[in-house]
Amino acid sequence: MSDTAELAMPKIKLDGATKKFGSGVQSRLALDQVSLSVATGETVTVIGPTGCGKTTILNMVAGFTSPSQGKVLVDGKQVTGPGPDRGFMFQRPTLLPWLTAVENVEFPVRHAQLPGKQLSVKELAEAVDHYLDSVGLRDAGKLYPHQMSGGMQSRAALARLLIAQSSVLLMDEPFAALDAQTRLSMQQLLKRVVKSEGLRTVLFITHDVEEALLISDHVFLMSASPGRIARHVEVPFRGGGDYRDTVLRPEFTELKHELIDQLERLVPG
Amino acid sequence: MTSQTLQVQPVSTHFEHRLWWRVLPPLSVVALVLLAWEYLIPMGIVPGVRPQYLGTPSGIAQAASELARSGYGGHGLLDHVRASLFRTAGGFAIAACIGVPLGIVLGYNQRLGAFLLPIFGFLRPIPALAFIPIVVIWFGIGEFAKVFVIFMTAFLYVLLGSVSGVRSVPADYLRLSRNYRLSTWSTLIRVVLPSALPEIFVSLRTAMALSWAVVVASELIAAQVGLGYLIQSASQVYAINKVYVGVALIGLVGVTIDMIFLNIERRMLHWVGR
Repeated sequence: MSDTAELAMPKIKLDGATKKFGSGVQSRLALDQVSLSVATGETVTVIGPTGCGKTTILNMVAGFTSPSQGKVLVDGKQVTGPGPDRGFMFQRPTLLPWLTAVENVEFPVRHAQLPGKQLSVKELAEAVDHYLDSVGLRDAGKLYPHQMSGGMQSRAALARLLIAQSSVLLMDEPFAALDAQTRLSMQQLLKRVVKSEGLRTVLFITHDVEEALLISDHVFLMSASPGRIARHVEVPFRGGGDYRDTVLRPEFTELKHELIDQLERLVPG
Repeated sequence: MTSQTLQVQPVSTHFEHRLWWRVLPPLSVVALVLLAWEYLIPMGIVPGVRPQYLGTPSGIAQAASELARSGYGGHGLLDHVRASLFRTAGGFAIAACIGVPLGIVLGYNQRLGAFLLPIFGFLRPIPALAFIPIVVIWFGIGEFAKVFVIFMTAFLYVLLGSVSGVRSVPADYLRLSRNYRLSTWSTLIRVVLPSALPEIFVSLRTAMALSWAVVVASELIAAQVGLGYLIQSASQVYAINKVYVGVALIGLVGVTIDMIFLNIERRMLHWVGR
C-alpha cells in the first residue's frame, strides 16, 4: 500500500455503530447509528451532554466494549479488543500510587506487550527522561503520585501515554478535574507534543466547548438518549497558533457560543 | 461558622502540655491502686473471694523473678514463650502462604470465586475454639492439632481479606493493564497485588492477633509447654501470682507482635493514606 493510500484511509472509523446496554425491556440504547471517521494525524473531539454515549465511543475504539451493531475500525481492521496501539488516558490520572513518576512512565515499556523492538536499559532511561522533560516534569521523576499536584499527575499520565508509542490516543475528559489554569497549560502541552510526535491520531472526549475548539481539527456534537451525532464542525482555527490570538478572534467566540447554545438545547429535560 | 471559630490559638504553654503532667497523674493513680491492692485487699475487704486468691503486687514481682530464674514445669520462661510463638508462627505462616495467593486468585477470577467463596464465608464466623474438639478427635492433642487450629483461624481471615482487597482494586487500574495487554501474571503481580496490599495487611494483622489468642486457648486444653499451659497449670495449684505474670506476658508478646506488624506495614505501604 502506498503512503497516499495509507493517509487516505481513515485511522479510526465508526460505521453505524450502535450500542445497547442490558436486554429485553430493561435494555437502553446508548448509541444509535454513530458514524464518524478520523484521519491519520488529526485531533477529533466528541462533545455532548452527560449520558450521550461519548465515553462509550471511546471504549469501543479502545476495545473495552464492542458495538451491538455496526463497525468500529482502526486502520481498516475491526477492533476486537484492547491493545497498546491505542493508548488510553483516563478521566483521573490513574497513576499507580506505589510507583514513582519515573516508574509510572516506564511502566508500559517495561511490562506491556508493545510492538516494536525492546529498549535497552539505557534507551529506556533516555526515553523516560525525554518524555518527562517534554511534559515539564524533568525534576519530578522521584516523586510519588501523592507528592504531586493534580496537574503534575496529569502530566505524568500524559508522559506514560506518549512513551508507549501508540499511534492512536484516546482521551476521556483527561483534564476535566483540573483547575482552569492547569487545564489550559495541559491543552497547549497536548497540542505541542502531538504535533512534535509525528502522526499521532487523537480522539478526545470533553464537555468543554472551548477545550474542543482549542485542540481539535474536527468537533462532533452529540445528542443524548440515545446518543447520536447532531453536528459535525470542521474547526477553522486548526493548528491555530497562540491561545490568546485564537480565543480573541470574533469567529472563535461566535462559534463557541453557537455550540454552547446548541448543547444546551440538546440536554434532555 | 462564626468568626470566633476561625481564631488561631497561640501555641500552648499550659501545664497540660508539659511532660510531667502527662506522666505523673496516671502514674499516681496506678501507684494508689497498687498500694490499696498490697495493703487493703489482704485484709479481706473483697466479699466472697479469699484474699490469697487475689494475690499482691509484691507477690507478683516475686513470682515474676522466680519464673524468670527457674522457669515453670521443667521449662524456662523463654521456652514457654518460644513454644507459643512457634505454634502461632507456624500456623500463621502456612495460612498466609496459602491464604494470600488463593485469595488473590479467587478475588480476581469471579467464576472460581463463586464456587469456593460462599463455603469459606460460611466457615469464617465460626469461632476457632469451636473447632478445637473436632481437631482433637481428628488429630489427637499433639503439636499438629494446635498448629492446625491456628491455621484454620488465620487462613479464613487472610483469604477473605485478600479477596476483598482484590475486589476493591480500582477498575481503571485493570483497564490500564488491559489497555497495555499485560499478561494475567503481570497484572496480578504488578497491579492487583500492590493495590490490594493495604487491605491484605490489615487482614494479616487481624489474623495474627487472633492466632495469638487461639494459641493460648489451644494450650489450655493439652500442652506440656507454652504460655497457655503455664497459666492453666499454675491456676490449678492456685499460684495466682504466676497466672498474673503469664497473662501479662501473653499481653506483652501480643502487643509486640502487633507493633512489629505495624512497623513493617508502614515501611512497605509508604503511599497509603497520603
